[in-house]
Amino acid sequence: MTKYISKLLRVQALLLPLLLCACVDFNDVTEALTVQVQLVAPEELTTSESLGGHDVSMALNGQTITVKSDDKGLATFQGIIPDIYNISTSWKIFQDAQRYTVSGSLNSQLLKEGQTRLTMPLNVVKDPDVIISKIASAGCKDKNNRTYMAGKYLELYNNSDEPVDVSGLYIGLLDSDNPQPYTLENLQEDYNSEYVLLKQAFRIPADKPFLVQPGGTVLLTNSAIDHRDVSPLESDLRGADFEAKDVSGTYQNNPAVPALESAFSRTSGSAVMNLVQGGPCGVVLFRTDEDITTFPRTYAYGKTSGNQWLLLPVRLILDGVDYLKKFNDGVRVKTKRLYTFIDASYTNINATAGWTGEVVYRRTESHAADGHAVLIDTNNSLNDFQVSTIIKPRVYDE
Amino acid sequence: MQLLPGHIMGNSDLTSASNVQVRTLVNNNTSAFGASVVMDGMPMSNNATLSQGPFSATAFTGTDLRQVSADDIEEVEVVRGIPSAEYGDLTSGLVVVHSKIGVTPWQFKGKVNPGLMNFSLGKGLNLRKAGVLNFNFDYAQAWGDPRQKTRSFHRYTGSVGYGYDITPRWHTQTKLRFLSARDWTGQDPDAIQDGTESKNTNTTFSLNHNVKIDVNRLLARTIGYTIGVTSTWTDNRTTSYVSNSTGLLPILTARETGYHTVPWETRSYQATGITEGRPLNIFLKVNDAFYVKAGHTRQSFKVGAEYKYDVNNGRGYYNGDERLPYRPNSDGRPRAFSDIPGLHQIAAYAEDQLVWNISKVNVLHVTAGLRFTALQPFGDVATTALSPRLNASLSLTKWLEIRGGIGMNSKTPGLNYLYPDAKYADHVAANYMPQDDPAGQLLVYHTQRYDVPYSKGMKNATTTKAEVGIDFKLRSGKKLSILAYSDYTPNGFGPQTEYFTYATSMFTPEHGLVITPGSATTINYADPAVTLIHYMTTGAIGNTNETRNRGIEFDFDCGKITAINTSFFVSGAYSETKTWSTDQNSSSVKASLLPASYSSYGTTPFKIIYPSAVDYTRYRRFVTTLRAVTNIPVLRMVASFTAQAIWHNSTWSYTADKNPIGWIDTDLVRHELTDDMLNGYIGMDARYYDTAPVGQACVSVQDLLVRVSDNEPTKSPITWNTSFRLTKELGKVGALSLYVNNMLFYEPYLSGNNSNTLTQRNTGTFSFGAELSLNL
Repeated sequence: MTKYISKLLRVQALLLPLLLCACVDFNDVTEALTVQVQLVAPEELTTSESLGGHDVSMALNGQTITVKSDDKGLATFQGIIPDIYNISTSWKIFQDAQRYTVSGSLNSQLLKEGQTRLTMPLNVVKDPDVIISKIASAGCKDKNNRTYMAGKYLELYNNSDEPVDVSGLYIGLLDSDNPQPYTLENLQEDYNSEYVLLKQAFRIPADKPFLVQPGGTVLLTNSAIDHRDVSPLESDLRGADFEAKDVSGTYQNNPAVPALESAFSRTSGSAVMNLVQGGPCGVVLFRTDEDITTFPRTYAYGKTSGNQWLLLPVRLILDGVDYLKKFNDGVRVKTKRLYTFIDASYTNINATAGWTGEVVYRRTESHAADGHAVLIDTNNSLNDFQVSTIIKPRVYDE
Repeated sequence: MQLLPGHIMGNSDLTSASNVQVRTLVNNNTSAFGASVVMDGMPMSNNATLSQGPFSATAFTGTDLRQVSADDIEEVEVVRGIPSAEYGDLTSGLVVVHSKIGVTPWQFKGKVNPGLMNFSLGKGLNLRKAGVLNFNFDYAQAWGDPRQKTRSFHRYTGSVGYGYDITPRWHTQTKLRFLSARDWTGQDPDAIQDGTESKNTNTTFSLNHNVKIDVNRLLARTIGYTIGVTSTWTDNRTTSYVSNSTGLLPILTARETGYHTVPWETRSYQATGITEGRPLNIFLKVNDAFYVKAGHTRQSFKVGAEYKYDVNNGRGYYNGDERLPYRPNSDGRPRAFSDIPGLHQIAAYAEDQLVWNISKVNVLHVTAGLRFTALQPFGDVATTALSPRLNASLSLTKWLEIRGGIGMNSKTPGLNYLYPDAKYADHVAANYMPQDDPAGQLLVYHTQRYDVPYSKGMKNATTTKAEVGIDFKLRSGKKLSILAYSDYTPNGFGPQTEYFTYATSMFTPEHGLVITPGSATTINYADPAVTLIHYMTTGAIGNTNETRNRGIEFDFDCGKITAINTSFFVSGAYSETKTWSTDQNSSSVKASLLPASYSSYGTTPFKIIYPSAVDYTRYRRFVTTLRAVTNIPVLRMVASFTAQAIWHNSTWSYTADKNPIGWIDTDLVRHELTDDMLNGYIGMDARYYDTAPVGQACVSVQDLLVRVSDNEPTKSPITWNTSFRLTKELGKVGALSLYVNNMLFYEPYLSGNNSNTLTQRNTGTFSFGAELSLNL
C-alpha cells in the first residue's frame, strides 16, 4: 500500500508541471522592439546642415542607449524592451561665428508593439555666453537636526571665450507650487507657449559693468557668510558676488557683498531668493530693457482668483534649467515648467524633500587652452547636470 | 454624548482636550466657548481661562470634559434646546451633571483597552444621624496610539461628598473635589531623545455647598442656595528646539514702541516656554421655588439670583531662560494674567412652569422664563443681556404630542476676549553683519506696541434658539420624535478690524549707519535709507461672528421584537452650520500686483475694502444610527450593536464674486469706489486715476475684482462605522463588558469630489477593550 501511494505521488509530481506548462500562453510574451526616431529639422536650420551622424540617446532608469542618426536623420534602436523612455539628441553648430545648440527630445515616450516609429522635432537655440551652472537649493540639517536654508546659492558661468558683462542680467525663479499652476499643455492652450511662469525675478545691478572672464562664475546667495560650522555640507559664501538682501531681519546680510536687486515677487515680504529645497526650483536667465512689472500676470490655469504669477515671454530667455521635484515614485516629467526647446529634459536631486546638501551642477565638457573648464550645455539638463554633496562654490571638478 | 441624534461615533481618546459641541458642526469661539457644563449646581466656568498672545480663532475653547470622572456621575442631562432660565452664560448647549450622592456599596470599575486604562473606586457610607458620606477615587491613563507613545494623559480625581439633613426640612450637600491631570506630548521612547516635550498639568480643588430648606410658605416652598469655589493651577511647560533655518534669529523682547538694539542667535537652540494660569471661580446662587394651584392648572415658579466671579492670578507666559526664549518673535512677550481684572457677573432669573390639564388627554405644559445678566456692572466694559425663554408642549391625543420653544441664551465674553493682550509688531531697521568686524555687527528692530483698548462696547454673545417637534407614541411601546431647530447667533466673538498706521525706517551702510571699524556701529536716525508705512490692526475683539445652526433630528424607538428579545433604536440628524464674519472685509494689495519696493518689504500702498458678510463657511451632515440591544437572560448577557452611516458630509468655504467698494489710504482716510470707477487705476499714492498715471506705478481696479471660479463644496464620500458590545452580568457582584469599536475595521481610502487624492477615512475609530464593574 505504501509503495502504491509513493508511486502515485511520483507520477503526479511529473504530470503536474507538464499540465501547468501546457496552460501557458506564450503569445503575450514581451519581445524586444526595433525603434526608429526620425529627426525633423526646424526651419531655422539651413539645408546644408546634415541631420546625419548625431548621437540620439534613449534613457530609462539611469541606463542610456545611444545610436548615430543616418544621413536622413533616422536613428534606429534595436533590442528595446517596451517601457517608457526619454529620448533626446543635441549637437552644436556654428553659423556666422556664433554657436548654436540643435536639440530635440521626446519625454516619457511609451514604446510598445505598434508604436516604434517616432518623429522628433528639433529646435535651434543660440548658445548663451553665460549659463546657469549650479543650483544649491537643498539646504541641510544642522547639528540639532533642525533645517537650515541660509546657505543656498546659485551660480552662473561664463562658458564663452570672451569676457561678458552680466550687469542688468535678470534671474527668474520659475513657479514651484504643487499642484502646478500651469502645465506646458495649459500654457500652449492659453498662451500659445509664449510664456513661462515666474514667482520671483532678480536683477544684477546695472549701474556699473560686472565683467566675468571666460570660465568665471557669478555666485548669488541670500546670506554671504561662512556657513560651514552648521554642517559639513555647507560652504563659505563670504566671497559671493551678489547677495539678495533680506529686509525681514532673519538672514545675516554681509555688507561687503553688493545687493542683488529684487525685481518681482509673487509673495509679500519676500526679498530673498526662494530656492525650494526639494524642488521644483527651475531657473531662467533673461535680458530685457522693458519694465518687467508691466508684464502680464496670471492666476492658476482655469482660475480667476488666488495666487498670481508673472508671465515671462520666452523670447527673452537666454538659458533655463528645469529643476523638478523627485517624488517617491520618481520625477514626474509632466510637471516640467520649461519647454523642450529651452531645456529638453530636467535635473533633480535624489532626496524627495531636500535638506541633504545636494547640489546640481554642470558637467565639464573639456578644458580651454588657458585651462578653464568648458561646461556641457546641450539644453538637456539630464545630460548636462549631475548631483553632488561635496562640490563647492566656483568649483566644477570634484 | 454619542447617543445624541447626529453625533458621530468615535473613541474617547483622553490624550486631547474635548469640549461640548451640541447641535453645531463647527468648533468655533461662538459655539464651543458657549457650551456650559454645570456640575452639582455650579458651572465649570471657562471665563478665566486665558491664553498668551493675540486672539486665536483656532485655540481650544470651551470646557475640557476630561475634568469630569465618568464613574462619579449619577446622572447627566444634555439640554440641546432652550434651557431653563435658571441656567445662563451659554450660547449653544447645556450639560447638567449630578455626581453620585447617597448610600452605595463599594463600587469598583475598570476599563482597559490598548490606549486607555481607567480605574475607579467609590462608596457611599451611611453615617446614620451624622449623614451620608460619599467618596470616589479615579485614575485614568491614556496614551492614544499604543504603537507610538508620543502622547499620554494621566488623571487622578478624588471627590468626597457629604450629605446632612440639619432638620427634616433642611438638607445640605457638600462636595469637595480634587483633580490632578497631566498631558504629555513628546518623543517615542524608541526615538532619539533630544529633550523635546510638552507637559500640561492641571490641579483643581473645587468645593460646593448646596442647601435646600423646605420653608413651605406660599411664596417660598423651597429656598435653596449654592456656594461654590473652584481654584485651578494650570502649568504648561514646553521644551523644544527653536529652529533657525535662515541663520539670524532676533530675540525680540522690547515692550515699548521705538528702535531697539536686539540680541540675536545664529543657530537653533533648545528653549522652554512656560504658561502659568491660576483661575479662580466663585459662584453664589439663591433660588426660591414655589407653586400655585388653581383649578386644572398648576404653576411652579422659580426665582433666583446668581453672582459669579472669575479671575486668573497666574504669572502667565514666561521663558525658562529669557535670554533664549521659546517664542522669540512678536507673539512671545510675557503677559501676567494677574494684571487682568477679575470678571464679575450678576444674574437674576424668574421662571413659571405651567401645567394645565385641559382634559384627561389634553395637557398643556408651558415654561416661560426671563433671565437678566450684567457683566462687570459699573465698570468700563459693563454690558447687560436679557434672555427670555419659552417652551411649550401640548398632548393632542394619547399618541400625539407637539412641542416647541423659542428663547435666547447669552454668553459672557471671557477675560481673554474682554482684556486682550497688547499687540506688537517688529520690523528690522538695521541688519549690519560685517563678517570681518564682529564688534561692528548690529541688529536693530523697530517695535510697535499697541495696547488694545479693553473691548468696550462688546456685548454678550446671544443665541436665539427656536425649535418645533412632534412626538408619536405608537403601539407596542414604539416612539417616534421628530424635531426641527434653528440656532442663530448674530454677535459671536471674533476679531474686529481697526487699522492704524505707523512709519519705520531702514538704515544701511550708505544711509544712516555710522560705521567705525573695530567699534560698535551706531545709527544716524535722521538719514534713513528707506521709510516704510505699515498698517496694523488694533487687535480689538468684537461681536463680529455670525453663526446659524439648523437641522432636523429624529429618534425612533422601534420597540422590542420579543421573538429575538431585541430592541431596535434608530436616530439621525440632518445638520447645517453656517458661519460668517461681519467684520470689515479688507485686505492688502496682492504682492504680485505691486512693485518690488512694496512686495519685498511686505507693505501695501493702501487697503482695499470689499463688501463684508458675503463669504461664509457652511458645513452640512446627514447621519443615521441604528442600535440593536439584545437581552439573553439565560446567559445573563446583553449584546448591543451600533451601526452608523454618514450619508452626507460637506464643507463649503464660499467666496463670493465681489467688486471693491473702497480703499483706505495710509492716513486712514476711507475712499469710496463706485461702479463707474471699476475701469480706473489706483496709484501708489493711493489716489484714483481714470487712466494709468505716468511716473508712478499703479494697480488696475480690474485686477482687484474678486472672481472665484472654483466655488464648490468639498464633499466626503459616504462612510459607515459599526461597534459591538457584549456585557455579562456577574450575578449581583457586577458585570464584565467586552467591546470593539469600528468592529469591521472599515478604514477605506476614498477620494472626495474635489480631489483625486485618496484619503483614509474613519481613522482612529478602531479600538477594543474590556470594562469590569464590581459591587463589593
